[in-house]
Amino acid sequence: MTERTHDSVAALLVAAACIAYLRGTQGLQSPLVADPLGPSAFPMILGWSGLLLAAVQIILVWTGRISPEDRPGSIGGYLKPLALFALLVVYALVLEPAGYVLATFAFVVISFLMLGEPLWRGGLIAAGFSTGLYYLFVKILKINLPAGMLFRGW
Amino acid sequence: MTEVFSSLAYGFSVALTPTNLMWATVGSIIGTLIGVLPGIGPVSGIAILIPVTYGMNPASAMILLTAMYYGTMYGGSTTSILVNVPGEASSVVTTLDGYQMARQGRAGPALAIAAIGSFVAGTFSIVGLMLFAVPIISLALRFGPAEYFGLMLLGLSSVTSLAGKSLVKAMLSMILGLVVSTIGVDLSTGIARYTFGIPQLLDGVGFLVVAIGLFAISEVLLAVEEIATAKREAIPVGRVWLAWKDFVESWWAMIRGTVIGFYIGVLPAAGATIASFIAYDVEKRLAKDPSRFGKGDIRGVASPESANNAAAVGNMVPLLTLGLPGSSTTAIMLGALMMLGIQPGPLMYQKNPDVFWGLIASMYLGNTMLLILNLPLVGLWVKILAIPERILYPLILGVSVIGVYGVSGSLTDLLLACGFGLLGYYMRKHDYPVAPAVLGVVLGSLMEQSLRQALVLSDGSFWFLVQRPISLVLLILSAVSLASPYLIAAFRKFQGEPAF
Repeated sequence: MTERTHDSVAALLVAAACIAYLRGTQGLQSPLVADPLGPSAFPMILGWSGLLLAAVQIILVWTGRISPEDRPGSIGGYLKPLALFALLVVYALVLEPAGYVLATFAFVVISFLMLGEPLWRGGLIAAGFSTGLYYLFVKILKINLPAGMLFRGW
Repeated sequence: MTEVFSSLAYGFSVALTPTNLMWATVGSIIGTLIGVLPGIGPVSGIAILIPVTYGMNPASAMILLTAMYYGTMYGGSTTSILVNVPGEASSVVTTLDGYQMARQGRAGPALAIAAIGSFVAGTFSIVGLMLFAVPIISLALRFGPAEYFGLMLLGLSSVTSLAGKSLVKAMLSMILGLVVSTIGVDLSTGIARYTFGIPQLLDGVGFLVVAIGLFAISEVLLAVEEIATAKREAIPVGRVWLAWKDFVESWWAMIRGTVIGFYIGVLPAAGATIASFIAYDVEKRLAKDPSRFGKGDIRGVASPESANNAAAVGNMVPLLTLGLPGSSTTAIMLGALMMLGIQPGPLMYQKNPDVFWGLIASMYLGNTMLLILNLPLVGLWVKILAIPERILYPLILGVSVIGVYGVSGSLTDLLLACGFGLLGYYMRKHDYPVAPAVLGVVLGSLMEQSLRQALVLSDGSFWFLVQRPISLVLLILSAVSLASPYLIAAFRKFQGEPAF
């Protein structure tokens, strides 16, 4: 796929999002007489502007007024970031049950492995990092981080 | 005038005691640290320090808190420059040129000018606070909803400076930010918008969630892809110290940033973030070679960093003169002051001159101390860039998680940040700039509420926009600001010069 197609697809997605957003304004009614704009006005302005701009973008790309960035995308390139993203979501989900220290340790170690860092060094850095930060934030700055099921009562 | 100087001397006598000097230093250090950590901001910092202030005398307590506040303005730029992750809302603009400078091996000069700009701005703004507080606040009081709307429009018009190659994409990004700002309960009517039945969304989506997602998480995802496909450019090792030439080049940027930041900071509700965007915009427009902005122009760091520190001082003006907090940070400070038995406001000048003047004197001290503290640290921060990215980035994510989760305790926020991270990754791969989205999130609700309040006040007529003088001026400035790239290009073509 050329970059031109990529750009158009992106613009079409934006247009679709704007249409969905505009549909969301339908349920909003304003009970107040004194507020002439109501809660739906601003979203409508935004939705229509977005739609217009997306159309402009598609036209500009196809009439060649804008030369798209020369950025060849390879399929293989997407895998690592998406994998890291999935790992991040899992990290967020286990944060509360497992506690900050464990969850962060696991996340950091696995990320290191994904990026090619040797296990022993990665493990050491991750352990130091997660316990160090936990100590700094919870004990010194008194910001609450989940202790997790193992460390409850610490 | 002499009365001011003698009062200031009194203030210095309060501020220069060993105890207060110690508190100023402690506050500065903690503030810088908090500023560096993405997500933990001055509000959290003050909340953390308030228990420390129990039992302290009011002057010392305020010295500690304000030193911390300015410290966060200094620290926020550090991560913006080094790893493209804004530590604070007010440091978002610094990422545009600061990060580029870092990737060109000029992180040292960038960090140095951020510290120096903050110092210059702080010092001049404090002078402004001392001498011009009263006339400035009376002008600020004339800002009603219509004027705020005009100011927000002016802020949004700075999107043209953030646009890079495609203004359309920048505006779409800005609309994304504005759309996000509509999520939540509508303040005027109490109706929930776009919450999809999720109670955690009733409060809206905070700036922080969006910023950490769009900047930090997307940066890591992008870097991981570039490392994996071997397209990541290595950072050249460059100078650590600032060249005299850099300083001279940035001088006027710092002065302009200070003036803009101070005045916008005085306006309640408008703060350091808007100030930094507008200052950057103005600087870019006034430059003879605006194409260098966004690619590592040092003025692009000097200007917003000065503006945000000036705005932090400006924020104190309504607090000290009227007892009106202009931002969440000053609101908490107000709470702290009241707990200590001080009522800020017009009478504070007379009833608690030691607090008032001691505070002002300590601001000078705090500023100086921050400069002394931060300049040597530049060398240390630059070493962070030497850490291999595959180690650095997962650690950044670990810290960002604290930033999002630690303060709110909300898993929804964390997942939303991840979502924005993925969105930001997609956006950046397709050259949609992310800074305008943050601009939209910050300005959106205030802009909408101002417009609706103004319409209520004018009984539904839109003419108020041009009838009130300040509002008219701001609207004209916004229009000029939006149109100016095209006007300038057309003008240059007319003269036979190349358009850029």
